[in-house]
Amino acid sequence: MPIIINLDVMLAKRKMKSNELAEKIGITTANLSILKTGKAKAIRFSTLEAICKELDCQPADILEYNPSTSSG
Amino acid sequence: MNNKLNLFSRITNIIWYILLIITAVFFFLGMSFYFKGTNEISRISLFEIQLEPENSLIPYFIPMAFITWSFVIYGFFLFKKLIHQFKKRLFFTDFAIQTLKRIGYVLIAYTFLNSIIKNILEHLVEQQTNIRNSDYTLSPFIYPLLLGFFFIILSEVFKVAKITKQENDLTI
Repeated sequence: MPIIINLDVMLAKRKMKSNELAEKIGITTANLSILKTGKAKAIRFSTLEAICKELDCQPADILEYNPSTSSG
Repeated sequence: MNNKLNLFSRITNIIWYILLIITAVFFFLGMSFYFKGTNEISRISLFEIQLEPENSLIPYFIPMAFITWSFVIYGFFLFKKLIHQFKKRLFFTDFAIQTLKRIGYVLIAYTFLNSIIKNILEHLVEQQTNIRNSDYTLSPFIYPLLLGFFFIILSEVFKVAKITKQENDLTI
């Protein structure tokens, strides 16, 4: 998918684990894993807002557009 | 919604057992026609055509009546299995999509088979009696045919719903 989720990078910068973030934003670890691995079809604004709030970052820090990446 | 599905499942089960009883009764009546003779029967109705018990066409058309009836039984059996799936809240599955399509095809096949056999029997009875039946009507065929198409269209709708659900499940 051309949209890449750089969640691992931000989690490393903030020294936070995936399950910790999942618990804080109220989604399951499995769903966060789906997001991280690029298998998600869409993300809700509410989820994006919660992630940015917990990681103290901008959406652009997490989302990247790379047209050369093939669609799933 | 669960209560409604449970209630509908119970009604479906009751109808299923009634259909099995009707099938058994028709089977034994049909067999008794072959073995005991026609002394106790005044008239026989096959494919909505009234026939005298001594009519020579009856032994050939009773098995055909069973064959068309088996389509009804099979269609309802599939419907019962589908309701059972829905009770488990498994709606937009491949099983539901395939079953809906199959029910549709069974109904359409039943309509065509029933109408062909009925027309053949009518023609043969007209030849026997020299009485022409001018009371033709399409209504016995239209309703199961439309219902068959409805189930096939519903199958396609469920296919789209399955994709939409998958996308929704992958929306975080």
